[in-house]
Amino acid sequence: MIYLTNVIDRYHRGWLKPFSDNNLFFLPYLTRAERIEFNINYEKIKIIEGNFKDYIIKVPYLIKNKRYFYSYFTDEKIEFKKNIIFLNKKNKTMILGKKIYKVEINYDFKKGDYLIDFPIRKNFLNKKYLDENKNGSRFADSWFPLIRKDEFNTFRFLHYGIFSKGCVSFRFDANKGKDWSYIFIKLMNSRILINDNYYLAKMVVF
Amino acid sequence: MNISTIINFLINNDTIKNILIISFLNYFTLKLFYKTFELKWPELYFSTNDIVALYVSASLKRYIFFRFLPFFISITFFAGVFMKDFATSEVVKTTVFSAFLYGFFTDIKAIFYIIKKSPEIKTYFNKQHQILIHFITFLFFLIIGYFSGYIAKNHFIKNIFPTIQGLVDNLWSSFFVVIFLFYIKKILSEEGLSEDYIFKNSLSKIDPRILKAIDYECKKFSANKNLVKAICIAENIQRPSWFRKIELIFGIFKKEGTYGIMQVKSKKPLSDIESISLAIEKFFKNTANIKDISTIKNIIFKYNNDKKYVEVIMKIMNFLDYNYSP
Repeated sequence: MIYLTNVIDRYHRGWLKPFSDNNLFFLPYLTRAERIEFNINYEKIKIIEGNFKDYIIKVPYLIKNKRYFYSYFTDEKIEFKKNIIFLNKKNKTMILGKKIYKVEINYDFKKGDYLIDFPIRKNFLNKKYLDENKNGSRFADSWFPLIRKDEFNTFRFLHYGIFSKGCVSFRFDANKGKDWSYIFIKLMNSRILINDNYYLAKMVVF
Repeated sequence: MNISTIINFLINNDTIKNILIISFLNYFTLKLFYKTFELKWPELYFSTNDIVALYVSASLKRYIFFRFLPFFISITFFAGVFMKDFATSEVVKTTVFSAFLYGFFTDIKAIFYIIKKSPEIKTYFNKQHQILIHFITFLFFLIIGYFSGYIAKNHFIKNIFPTIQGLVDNLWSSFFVVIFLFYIKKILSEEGLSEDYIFKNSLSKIDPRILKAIDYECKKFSANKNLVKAICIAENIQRPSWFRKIELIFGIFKKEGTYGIMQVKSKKPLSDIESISLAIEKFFKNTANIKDISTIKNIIFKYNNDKKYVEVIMKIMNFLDYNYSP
């Protein structure tokens, strides 16, 4: 098992772009995979969780010169934790670990349990949300899908930026970008197994 | 000899007149060129005192493109236009003297400022390195000045350059300058002149074996990997691989000095990987779990007691991991 680790600098912002013609194909930080083969030009891996589960793809190296290379992945085992986010609909507050954050949430957002899925990379994001000198976060373009057992609506996300309808919005102007970075890392370090599928964490809305 | 005699001598001496005209035009054009990057003389070049200088210093290619190419084109151009009818030896003499004057008022002036610790120049870290680079740059100016004199008299080049009248009559030169500036600026701003790009660029130029050695040694000595990586990135900007190789060669004769990518003091030359092992054991063991920013800053300060250095390392650490806000 290998883990995608070397992508949290401000250049990669939590994502690795594999060799692929699909412009939307990005792997998030700490994605688990199996190394199938490698050579001087690329590593061939099988993704074992997330939105591209079971895909076999080629990925570049973080650094490569004529004879040597340094991988984006590590072989060192990562111990994942189990995390639950508690969301108070009335107070519009979110609790993760020992910290409380202000969020925006629609009045019709249903109470109950949600699963937080592997993030998608949001394109065409306002650049200011990514600017850490202006209260942004390097991980602002990571949007976490929120899944409810009894619904098929997947257009519901936990995200950073401005308020958007149907989502749990971690508002840019009400929070610190560093807090969102903390949430991103915390969620990516978390896993729960439901019906043979891995998710990041659980969210309880009350 | 009174002043009017001196002025008369200057006016009537073609060589001196040419040197003054070419030097003035060359200096003025380059000043305008660098002004587009909002840089001041003689504060930059390789001295890494601002973003652009850092950007340039991260790559030998950019250093040459940014420091020598504009100079070469400018001096060849003016010599070609204004000295069309002069003998080659006269043109070469003029371009060498113009190069000397230009280098004197930029790099030699910078060296003087550094030695005098003048507030006019911002020294970064490692003054000797900064002085050496200015000196090398000055020498290269003289060499380029010498060759551009010959190139300006080359039959093919001579025919490309306009006559003085032609220069006045049309906008050829301005067109050339605009295109040239646009081209160079485009090269330099391809991915934006951001610090992040500089750091990423420096990281990508570090030998993968060095990063593997960092992983191994940091685990062995429980050292902070991001801290060691950040120092490598900074030192690699300041002393790129080609520069360290020259240091190693000098080390055969000099023996004692600072060596390798970590620039650790040693009585014998060290490879990059040896410098990693030594630096981690000496300065960074048991730092892996330190999260407090001021403690980390103290560790960096012990490694290199320069506040600016600490600032740069913190910026690079923050680039690598959001937790380390400078």
